Amino acid sequence: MNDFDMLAITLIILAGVITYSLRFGGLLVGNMLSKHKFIENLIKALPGTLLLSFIVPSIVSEGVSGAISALAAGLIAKKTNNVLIALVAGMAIIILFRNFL
Amino acid sequence: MKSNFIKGFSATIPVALSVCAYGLVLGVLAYSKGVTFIELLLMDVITFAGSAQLLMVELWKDPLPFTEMLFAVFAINLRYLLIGASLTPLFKGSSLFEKAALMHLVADENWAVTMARLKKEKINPYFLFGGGICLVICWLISTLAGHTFGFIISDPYSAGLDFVIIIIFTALVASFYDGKDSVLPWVVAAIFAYLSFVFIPGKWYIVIGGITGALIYSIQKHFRGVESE
Repeated sequence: MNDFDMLAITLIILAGVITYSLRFGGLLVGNMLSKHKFIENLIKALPGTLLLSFIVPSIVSEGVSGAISALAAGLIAKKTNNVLIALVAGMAIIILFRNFL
Repeated sequence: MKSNFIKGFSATIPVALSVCAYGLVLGVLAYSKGVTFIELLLMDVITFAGSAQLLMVELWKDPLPFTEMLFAVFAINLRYLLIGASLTPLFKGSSLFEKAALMHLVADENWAVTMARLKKEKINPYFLFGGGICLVICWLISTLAGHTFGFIISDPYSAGLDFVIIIIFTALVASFYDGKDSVLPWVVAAIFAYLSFVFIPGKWYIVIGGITGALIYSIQKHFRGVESE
């Protein structure tokens, strides 16, 4: 096993430990969390803002086609509540732009 | 106990099917990023969290951005604290051992199915666990199948493979949109993310944008709350 593999396995195990601690920890601290409205709101907003931060640079780098594709996917997902349909539509736009335009 | 397990398992099958589609995509991406079969298998079993795994796969390169990756996993999975907290009524009367053993397989999907059922009838934690087993089976089959057949896509760029995650996350982001309360936090998150992406090396833009946006949300809620009192 080389260094990269060792590091990769360590990383996967640590990611698992972190995730499990959050799952189990949430159950243990239970209602204590909901007493702190500020923290509860912070945790509630985090998945959305985090994923948004993840996608923004890639969309900007892709340019106009990235923006159109993301906008279409976002709107479809919001309207239909179906990630799969949104994925197909968004990908169709990207593939079209990259191969034919 | 047994019947609760089976009830939970079967109630989760419909959402597990859509999880399969997600898993297939993750598997193909993992293959294209050079994540090995064993590494993906370990991730599936040890982490067992879709969006965190997608993030890890997306950030996967040599050298591994170790700290950024763990921070991102922590931040994206922070919601499990709330999910865990919301399960307190279900686990009332369970031993500590039971809690520790059954909590690992909690994902967004079986949690949602369990919470919906808990409103209608009396169920125990094995309902949740049955759903978790159903999900982990689908998750393993679909991700590993995607990885095995990933070689079929010979030109990942033309196939837009690098953009699949972006589209999936865009769709997920849209589902988190909660009216005009989201506007300001999201604009701030986007600006901070982009500036960090340009000026700060590494993958810190995810965590920086995410935390600033969420802080704005909390602060905004805090002041609205004070006003209305």
